[in-house]
Amino acid sequence: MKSKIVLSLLLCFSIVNASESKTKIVAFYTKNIAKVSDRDVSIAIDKILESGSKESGLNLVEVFPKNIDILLKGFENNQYALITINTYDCMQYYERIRPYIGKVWTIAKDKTKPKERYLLLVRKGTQISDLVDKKVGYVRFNEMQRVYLEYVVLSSMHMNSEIYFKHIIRFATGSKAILQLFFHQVDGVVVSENTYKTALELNPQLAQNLTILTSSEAMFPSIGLTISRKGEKGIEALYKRFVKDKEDIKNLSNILMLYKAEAIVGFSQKDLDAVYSFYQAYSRMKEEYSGF
Amino acid sequence: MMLQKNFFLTKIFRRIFILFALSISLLVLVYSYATIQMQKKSNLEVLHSKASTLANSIALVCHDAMLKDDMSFIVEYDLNVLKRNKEVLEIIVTNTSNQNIKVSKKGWRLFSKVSQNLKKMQQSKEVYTIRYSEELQQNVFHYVYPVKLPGVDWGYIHIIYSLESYNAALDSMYRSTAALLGVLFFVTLFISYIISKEIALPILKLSKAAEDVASGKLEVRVDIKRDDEIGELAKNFNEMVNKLEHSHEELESLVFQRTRELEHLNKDLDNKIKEAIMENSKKEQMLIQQSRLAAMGEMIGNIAHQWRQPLNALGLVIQNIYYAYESDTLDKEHLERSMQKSKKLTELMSKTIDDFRNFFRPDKTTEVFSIAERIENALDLISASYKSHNIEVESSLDASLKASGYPNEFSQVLLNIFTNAKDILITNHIQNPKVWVRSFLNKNKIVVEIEDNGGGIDPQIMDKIFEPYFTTKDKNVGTGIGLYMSKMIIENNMGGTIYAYNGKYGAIFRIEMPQEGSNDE
Repeated sequence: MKSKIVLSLLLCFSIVNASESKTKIVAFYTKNIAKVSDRDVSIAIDKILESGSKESGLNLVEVFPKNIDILLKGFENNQYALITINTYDCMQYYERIRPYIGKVWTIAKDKTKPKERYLLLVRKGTQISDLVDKKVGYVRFNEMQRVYLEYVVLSSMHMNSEIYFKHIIRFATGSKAILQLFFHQVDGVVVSENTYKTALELNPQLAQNLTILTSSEAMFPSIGLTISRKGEKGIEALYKRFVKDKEDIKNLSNILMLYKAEAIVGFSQKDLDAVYSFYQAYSRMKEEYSGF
Repeated sequence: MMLQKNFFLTKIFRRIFILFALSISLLVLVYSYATIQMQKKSNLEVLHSKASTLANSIALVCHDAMLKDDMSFIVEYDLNVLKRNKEVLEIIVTNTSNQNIKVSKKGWRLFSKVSQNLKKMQQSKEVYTIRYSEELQQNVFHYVYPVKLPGVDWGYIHIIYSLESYNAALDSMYRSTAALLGVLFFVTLFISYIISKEIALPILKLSKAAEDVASGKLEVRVDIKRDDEIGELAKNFNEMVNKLEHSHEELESLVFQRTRELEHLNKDLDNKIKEAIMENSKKEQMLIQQSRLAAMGEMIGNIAHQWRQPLNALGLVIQNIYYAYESDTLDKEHLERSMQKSKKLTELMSKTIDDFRNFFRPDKTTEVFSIAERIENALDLISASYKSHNIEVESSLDASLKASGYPNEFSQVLLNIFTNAKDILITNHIQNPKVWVRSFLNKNKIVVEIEDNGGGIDPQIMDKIFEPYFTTKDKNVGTGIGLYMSKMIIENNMGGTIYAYNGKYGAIFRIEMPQEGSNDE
């Protein structure tokens, strides 16, 4: 639910570039993001789009494509001015999306560090080799963290993670994952650096027991991406207003506060290419060690 | 009208007013205090209920986690609880496996050792208290909930609630109570004023009316028409004044009548007093007469004693003349000698009469006289009588003592005492009868003491001997006025005192008088 609302936020800001027409279609792909009803998402998105409409004077209409093919085709066919999509899905179909990418936005919990770094946390004294047949986990709906976990195992142990680990758990939140690790219920977790910092603020005792086994480059968007189609213009002013004057816009500021997000930040194509390069490396290794 | 205006200045109004004001104020204060206490308790119960519900929900939600000792779930849930409940400051979960957690707004931490304070609270089954948290630096509501899983006492959940809302509710209550008390204060004053006026005014009216009645204004009536006891009192008061007025009129009439009667009686009384005075005067004259007669008797007795010797001598002279004639020895010379001797004797006898006459002559004016001389003079008068009864007199006199007064009266006093001494010595047949006479100065006063060895005065009659007509002698001998007259002379005429007491041998009469020239009077 949270992820959906955040994505709708991104969508709201993206519509400004969707088209020169007054009516703009916003496609929201919820699969693999959250197990919540479309109705709940719709209500949240309506609220955000209502603010966007008021500010921009555009007629913003949201749609929920049933599968990724419909989303991608709609985007390719200039049916959707904006799409909101999970980063993992984006990387899977990056080759199809890339030619139409206009602008990309995401939300950042730390506006000074909009690109997230993933950490593989373990208890002190634990090596990657010690994690064999152990329980590990990552945050649910953030499949890029699973990709990173698998990447670490593939690159260091040359083994497929499903084989290497006894069980891979999907945690509802990063803090829950860290708590389970602290209380010896799992042996390793992948969380974002921001999440770990927040957890340390809540309990400095964590640093006495936990350690960072590996860390990625700071390159991942926090949850998902909102991508406008090339050629969509007209809502630059609205975007600027949303970013700069967000405190004045009731729904926006409330939602940012709710998710402890600090800002809406832009993602360049170069940034996305870097993520995609990581994803490609992972894919190659996964294919290479598919039998292991 | 003055009463209506200034009744609030009266004591009774002030007292009733203060009594009512204080009573109502006290009642209101007690009620407010009780209400505040109940409200406090109620607010605490609300907190207790909230904390209890929260602890129950934590225990319920975390039931499985507790069974599995999944502390991560408990921490996460507690963190969420803290996010949702602004009033909850801390949640502390302790268990038997010593994996205790403390979750607060700032974060959470794991600890193994449970503090004594927490242990104390955990000893009770379920308890709440308000205590000061040093960590939070404020008073907090601390609730302890024991977690009992099937077959095992798992541990405790401590809910630390902020007292902010509780204090805010109390503050609000205090403010509203203070405002209410302020209003009630004025209402109390007003009610007290009304009640005090209602009670005091009729009483003051009655008091004023009573005061008027007391000062004689019997036409005063009170105008109080009420159907209570005060109205009854006013009615009775008016009736009482009616009766009083009627009685007063009757009394005045009676008094007038009695006054007239009294005037008559007074006139009679004056007459009776005059009669009594005259009777007393007669009695006094009789007494004086009796005294005079007694003195004359005494004088005659004493003259008789004084004359006995010269009479005998005269008899012998006459007898010698006869014997001389019989023996033819009576010649002219013998006769002349006998004549001269007889003449001397008759002159002596004549002088005796003169002496007694002078002695009993009343003094007209006061004069300074010698005490010793008057004593010797008196002794001279009675010496013949004393000699005839062999009464010895021993005198020790201070010749320098002089008093101012009536010397003859003083001598009469002395003569009375000497005569009494002689009588008692004769009556009691005292062998070697003796009288001592002393005069001396004591504390600037002249003292004359006359003592005899007659055996003394019966103590039972000691107080009566100076009373008139009191005598122990035979009626033919004593009149009972000698000592009474002596006391009158010494105390009334001479400014002295006379009293008697018993000495070693007999009675002692002591006369004390101011010395001549002294200011003791």
